[in-house]
Amino acid sequence: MKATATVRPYTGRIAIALACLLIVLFPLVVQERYYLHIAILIFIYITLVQSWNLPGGFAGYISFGHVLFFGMGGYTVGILMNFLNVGPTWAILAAGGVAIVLALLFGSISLRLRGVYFAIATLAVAIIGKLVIGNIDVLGGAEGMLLPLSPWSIEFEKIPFYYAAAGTAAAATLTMVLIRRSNLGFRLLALKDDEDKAEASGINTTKHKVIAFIISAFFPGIIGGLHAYYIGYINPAANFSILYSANVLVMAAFGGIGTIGGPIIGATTFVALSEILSYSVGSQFRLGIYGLILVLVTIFLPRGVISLRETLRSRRRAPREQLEATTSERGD
Amino acid sequence: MQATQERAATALRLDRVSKRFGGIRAVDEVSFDVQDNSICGLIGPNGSGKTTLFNLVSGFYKLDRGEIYYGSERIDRLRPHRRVERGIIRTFQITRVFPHLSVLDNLMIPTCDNRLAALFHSALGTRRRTRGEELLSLLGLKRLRDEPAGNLSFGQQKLVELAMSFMIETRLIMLDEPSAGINPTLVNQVRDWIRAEQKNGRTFLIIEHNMHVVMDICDKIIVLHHGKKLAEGAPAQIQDDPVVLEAYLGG
Repeated sequence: MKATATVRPYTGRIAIALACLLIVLFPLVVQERYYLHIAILIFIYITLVQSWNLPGGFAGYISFGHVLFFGMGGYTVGILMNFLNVGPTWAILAAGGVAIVLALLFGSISLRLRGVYFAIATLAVAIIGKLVIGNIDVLGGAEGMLLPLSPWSIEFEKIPFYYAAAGTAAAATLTMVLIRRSNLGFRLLALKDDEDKAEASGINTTKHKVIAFIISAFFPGIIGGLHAYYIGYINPAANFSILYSANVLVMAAFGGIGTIGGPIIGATTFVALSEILSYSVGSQFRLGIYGLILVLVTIFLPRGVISLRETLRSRRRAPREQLEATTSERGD
Repeated sequence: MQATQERAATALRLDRVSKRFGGIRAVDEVSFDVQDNSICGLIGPNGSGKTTLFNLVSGFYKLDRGEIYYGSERIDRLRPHRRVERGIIRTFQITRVFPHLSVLDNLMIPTCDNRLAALFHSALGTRRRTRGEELLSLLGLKRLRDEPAGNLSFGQQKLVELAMSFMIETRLIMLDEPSAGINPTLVNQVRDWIRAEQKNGRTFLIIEHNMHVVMDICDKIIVLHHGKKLAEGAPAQIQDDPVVLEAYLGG
């Protein structure tokens, strides 16, 4: 979109190819279950943050409710596998479908709200979703329910989940890359800047927002379903935990809102950090350190870690040719 | 007036359009026509309802009473983007560009295509890009094409916004004070540009306080005062109308 994107395209491509190779080979080399588990968590969060970023980062519609799609995805898989004997693959795909339907219903109503009102509405719906599910006795109420075990042996078990989660994260990322280059992504950016002007420019803002919201619900639905099958147990408190929404927001802000790399950096850093901190300094300090890091990033890199290079470069650069206009004429 | 353009079709027709805000009648029973391929000026003191009228025609306000026709189609219940699809586009009095998008990207935003398939097309259409770059050269803004539009001066943003309205196949362009806040040389440039686009078949409805510009380019002028239409006619007629003079200068 901007000229900077074309700088040294090959280094970027080689880096991406190497990263993909690393991800594919990782479980073959590292066979410790613990590290595979961390990697799966990272992929889950990458999927969630990438998805959240579409309405949140591109269009400026901050959602606290994406955990709804994650939780409903989990319960869809639970219901289909436990009560209807559906296989895991179809159940997980159905979880994505359920998320789409929910996003269509909920999005076309809530996206009429703007800014903070939208954020509160999404939060409310996520909480309502949790309460409703928690009060259905067939689904185990607050205690939740167990899911059928995967057919794989304990030693091998993590590997299929690893690849499935990696695939979902990659699909979510690739989707965002394509959307970013499409009219949709481009118009969402305009809409974030000035929604009325976007409407005055001929953009059907409602349609664009709802479509974006639907796409952003699909992947959390899928990954929520996958996660449920992976853990083997779902309950309202865990699967609808507002912590998911909060973590996603923190990771996005840390990595860089509205970018493609930001969610990857944010999710990876925070999941890894959380693991490292919990056995080095203990979990009681962990959240404090989180907060500190976030405060520092917000102050010094308001556009996230991804903007690090750019920020350093612009500080070093001599004040370049100024637009005479910006300083003298701009009077409003 | 009517006699000379008898054969010309009507681009826009307002029929007893009214809008009130609480006790204020911002637009009160206003009716007029804008002939196809003409330049129509909308003048009046501050608070006379000009911008409200723009908001009604572009769909940002719902009217209380009356009807608005574009060609033969009634449009007063369409959402703003639907009116753009029909061929009406507007600019804002307080200039509005997309500050974080580059100048060239700003020009790529206006659209008439909201079909689902179009959402997933690449945003980098080359034909539109060429058109955008042409317009920027014309405006002398070419060297700023990759600059975020928010960094531009007020006058430059005004030009960008104007250029945005020329990017799509719009027939009726509504400009809210196109010459406000830009330097005199540029005012002449904007004026020439509007004339050129008129020759390309476009119709203009223009709110303007600069009387030189208004008298110079408009085929017809409508004067609003306290939300009511005070006068309507050719520039020469309006200039000498005692009622208009009193509304503007007297009291």
